[in-house]
Amino acid sequence: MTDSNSAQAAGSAPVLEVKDLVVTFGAGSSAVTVLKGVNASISRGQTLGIVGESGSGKSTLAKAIVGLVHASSGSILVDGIDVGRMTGPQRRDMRRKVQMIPQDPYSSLNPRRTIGQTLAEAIDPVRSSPMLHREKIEYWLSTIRLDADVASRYPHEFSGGQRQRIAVARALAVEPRLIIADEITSALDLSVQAELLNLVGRLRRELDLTMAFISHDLDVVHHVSDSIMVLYNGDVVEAGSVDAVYQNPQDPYTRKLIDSVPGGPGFDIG
Amino acid sequence: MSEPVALSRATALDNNPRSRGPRLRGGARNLSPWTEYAIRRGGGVLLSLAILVVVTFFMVPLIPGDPAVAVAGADATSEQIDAIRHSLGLNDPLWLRFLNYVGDLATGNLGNSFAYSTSVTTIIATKLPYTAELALLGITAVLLISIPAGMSVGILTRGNRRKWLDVAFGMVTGFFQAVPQYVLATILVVLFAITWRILPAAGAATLTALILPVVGLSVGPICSISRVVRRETSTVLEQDYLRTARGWRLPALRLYARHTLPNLLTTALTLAGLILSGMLGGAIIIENVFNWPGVGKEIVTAIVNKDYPVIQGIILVLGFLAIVLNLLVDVILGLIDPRTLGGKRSNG
Amino acid sequence: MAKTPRTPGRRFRWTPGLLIGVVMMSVMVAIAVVAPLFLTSSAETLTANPSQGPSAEHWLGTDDFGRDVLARSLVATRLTLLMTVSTTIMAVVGGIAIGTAVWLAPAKVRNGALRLIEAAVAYPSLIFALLIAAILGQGTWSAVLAIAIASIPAFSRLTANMAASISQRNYVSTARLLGVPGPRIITRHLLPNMAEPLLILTATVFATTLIELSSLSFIGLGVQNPEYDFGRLLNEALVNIYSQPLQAVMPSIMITVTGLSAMLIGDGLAAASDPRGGRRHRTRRQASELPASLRSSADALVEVDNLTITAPTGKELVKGLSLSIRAGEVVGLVGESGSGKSLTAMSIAGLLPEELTVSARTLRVGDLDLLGRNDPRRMATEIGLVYQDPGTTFNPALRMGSQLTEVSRVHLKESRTTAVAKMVKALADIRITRPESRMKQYPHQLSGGMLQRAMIATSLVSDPKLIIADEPTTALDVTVQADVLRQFRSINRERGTAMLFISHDIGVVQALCDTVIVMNGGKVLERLTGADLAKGNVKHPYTKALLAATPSMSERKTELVALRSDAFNLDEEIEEVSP
Repeated sequence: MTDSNSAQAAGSAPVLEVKDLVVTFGAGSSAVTVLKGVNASISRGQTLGIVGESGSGKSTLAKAIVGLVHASSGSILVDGIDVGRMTGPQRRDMRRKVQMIPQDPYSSLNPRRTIGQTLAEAIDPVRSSPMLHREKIEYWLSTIRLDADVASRYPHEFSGGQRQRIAVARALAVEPRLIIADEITSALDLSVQAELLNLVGRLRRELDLTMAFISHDLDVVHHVSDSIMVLYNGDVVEAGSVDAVYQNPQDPYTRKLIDSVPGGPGFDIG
Repeated sequence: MSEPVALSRATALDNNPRSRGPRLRGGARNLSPWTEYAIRRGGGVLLSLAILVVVTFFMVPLIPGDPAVAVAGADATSEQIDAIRHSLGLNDPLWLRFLNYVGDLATGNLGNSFAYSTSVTTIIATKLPYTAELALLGITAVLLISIPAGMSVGILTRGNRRKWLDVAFGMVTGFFQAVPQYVLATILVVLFAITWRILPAAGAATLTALILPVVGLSVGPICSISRVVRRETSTVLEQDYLRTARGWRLPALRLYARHTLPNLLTTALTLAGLILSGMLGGAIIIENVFNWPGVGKEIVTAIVNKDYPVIQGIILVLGFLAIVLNLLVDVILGLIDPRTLGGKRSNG
Repeated sequence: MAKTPRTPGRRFRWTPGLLIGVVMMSVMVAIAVVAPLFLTSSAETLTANPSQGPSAEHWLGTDDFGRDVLARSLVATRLTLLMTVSTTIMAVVGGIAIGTAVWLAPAKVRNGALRLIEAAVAYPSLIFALLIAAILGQGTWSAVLAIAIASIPAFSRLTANMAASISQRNYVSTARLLGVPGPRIITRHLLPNMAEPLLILTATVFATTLIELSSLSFIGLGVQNPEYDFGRLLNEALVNIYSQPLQAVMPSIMITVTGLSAMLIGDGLAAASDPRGGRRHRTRRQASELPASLRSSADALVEVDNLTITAPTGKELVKGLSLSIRAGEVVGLVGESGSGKSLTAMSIAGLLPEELTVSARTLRVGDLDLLGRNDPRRMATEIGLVYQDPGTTFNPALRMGSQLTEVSRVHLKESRTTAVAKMVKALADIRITRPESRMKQYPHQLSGGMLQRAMIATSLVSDPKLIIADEPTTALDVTVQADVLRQFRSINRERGTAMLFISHDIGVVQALCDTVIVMNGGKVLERLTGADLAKGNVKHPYTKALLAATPSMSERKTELVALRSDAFNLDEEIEEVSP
């Protein structure tokens, strides 16, 4: 996965840099600004945890980074290149550099396509023949600990946790620079969540992944991230290393958030 | 994996339903939702009207044959035909005729009939009430019968009970939808007017003459809407808020009339609006069978006569009514269920 | 390597209607193929026997030109079916092309195009078809084209709606991120997933097209002499309806049968593709072995003894579960999805889906025996209910006030003003701002946390003995969750209301509950105090594993213990331990 050119550049430039990102939906009196000047950066091999409650803008941030939502102002740089300034084919290449693992395991895989077809499409979006890419498909299936014969099966034959693992494999198969995991464990049971988190942890170590891990669950973010960013109402209220933020939150909202986690040290319902 | 049959409510085209933020639906801060709604819909209505005028004006002259010949009759000389053509303004360039037409439209003038040399407005004003009479009675019958019928069947067959009723309902409504209107209408005439002689067979002279045409017109729509209502009812009955209402142990009438009915009206009324505008235009068949002096019969005659202004006029008026009805239905829906004001509503 | 469970795909279900439809349609197709081969001469040769009644030679008599009526009706099947099929194909292909192209277009073009389609749909299609038929001239194929063009707007709108709803699924947006070109997204992701509803719609279009085509022929703008379809035959026959009624019978039957069979096929396909179908419903509740009244009521408020809940397939979802709740006690039911915790709660609430069968030795709340019928008023006032998703709990079409006061008005017979005043106070008590105006709002105008607190408030107006809360905080944000939990705690402290609190979150139950019941596979595995759970004082291996699988922000675990790898069968594990 290592590319010598980008490795040189990565020495200085972070994989992802978000500068003063503003996203506004609608226009005129009904305009709603969802992100109000967000800054973030992720260095190679690092995982940034993005936490926030509903309406905080964390999902919009993810969509803006992958290009599903347009930035009203500000810039998003992947490997130092401004994504917003790109056109046509260039943008398509750039899109492949950032991949997203979606939240819902039941709608993340096309029910009418086999796992092999799904992975083949990730490897080559145009000529996506499972036969053509058999070796690669088997390789990626083995990284998520599934048998090669799985490739000929359909999504409905798998449990939610397994589907989510396949979605991880699909993102990996693109060999992206950055993976965005958007609430990937929130639809899963505790036991399945543990398994997926273990897989993500192992892949981070083995493949040196760069990730943005979005979740509302502070326990989960704490478990997987190196650094963390707290969003509230479209603003970054606090950012820093995981240990620093969790142990000594500076912003009152972060404090409240951490104290609201059941089972946590500051949790008290009277 | 499988979609519900696409006729039911599909909230499409809302690009980011999840990232709505803190429930700022519609995001109206300064304006009331109704004002904003009026502004948005007003633009849409004007656009639809403009398209309607342009399309009808330019499509109608594509009908083959020369209206001047049709007006002049078979044994007219070519000079006579030329003179007629000139007097009808058919020699002017199309764009000039369009400008004149739009100018006249602004003053409510739809032009003069080629065939009768009366104004189109007069023709429509005499014919439309007859059609409207049929259509309004028809849609009333449709709503009064199909909503209770569909709801009852939906309630009685909930949770896969009474399989037989479900099958029977499907068969009966399917059958009456499959019988063409003109066949049904003819059977009605044969039975009630010829065999039993209790109702008039044709014409619009008496009040009883309305009964057969209205029945003929509404049987099909009654079946189709009651099928939709039945399906919507079973969908609504499985919603969480109905479980809440059951948890409050509400009496059956309250459960169905208050908690179920308003939620299936959206689809039923939208369809009813489409059917009403269809009835205004589509009463052609019924008007032919019962010799009813409405616009449907008139437009067929006009097409045969190549009477452009009449065709254009009728098409415009029906299109206008369709647009107005559509708007009216949406406003009624907005009153029943204010959520429909915020976003796009699309069902069919 | 993990094993994957192979669940069989849904089997296609033949409903009676679908079967009848297919058989009838096959007969019509057979007639269309065979009849013209043998009957063309008797159907089209003019003879010297016009307008005859039925005879051995001409079963249904002859028409004005002495042609055999029966033969004509049968031969006309071919042209009618050909026309209808062509029209349907054109409408469907055109509709799909426009519907998906609209979806591919950039947002602004798409919105404009959809407006246009909307406007076209609102226009009466028969008039539209009439105009096109007039422009194209009278005749068979111009009728086909006219009806096809007139049907395209409706079909393309439905296709566009479907495409829009499918394109919101994650696999479509992922395909875009992968760089899959637009046309391939349509062929790989959209169309295959629209196939079923499109097929159903096509059957409907076939049925309506059949009638519209024949209507055009009937008013003389469709098929012209010497060709004939059902509509043309009826056009001729209905003129003679008084003198020759038999002439109209056969075409009428044929056209009705064809239309009905298409409709039955459409209905059947819809039923077959409905995942909710096939389910059998059973209301019979097995009687308790011992009536509750005979048992000592002890000091428990809620008593559940040997509760078994069986699915229609015969699978036991809850297996002989027993639990009790004392007055004023807060009991938490914790477990993963499929553990049977919600079913248990809903059976105590008397709100199980009807297709499930319930049996128990005892199932009572106070002196309400839930195995029998109960006074709705007592059920409503003595048991308060709070559900999982506040966004769907309330009726979207009704104002908050009228829903929140429903129990007071219906069961406590309070006047509207009293009920409203009481509710406003209750809302203010749980710190909902501007309670009067909230009462006038609709559910979608309130936040999830506010809705859930309102639900709690309304479940308290009748001062119930028990509140059953089914995952009441799962859909809420953490800060709101903490708030709602505080609410539950203070209700319990101040009013002494007993609670059955269902959750999958160990942190939540250990904070709130006096007693925690750990469930899995429809059984109780362990019963312990909330304090013990918080301290990690657990005995059952499943509970231990559950704790080890939970990530925590207070300690950094390098590896979570994967509780259930796919090779690990939990059911066997449970059998070894008796609850």
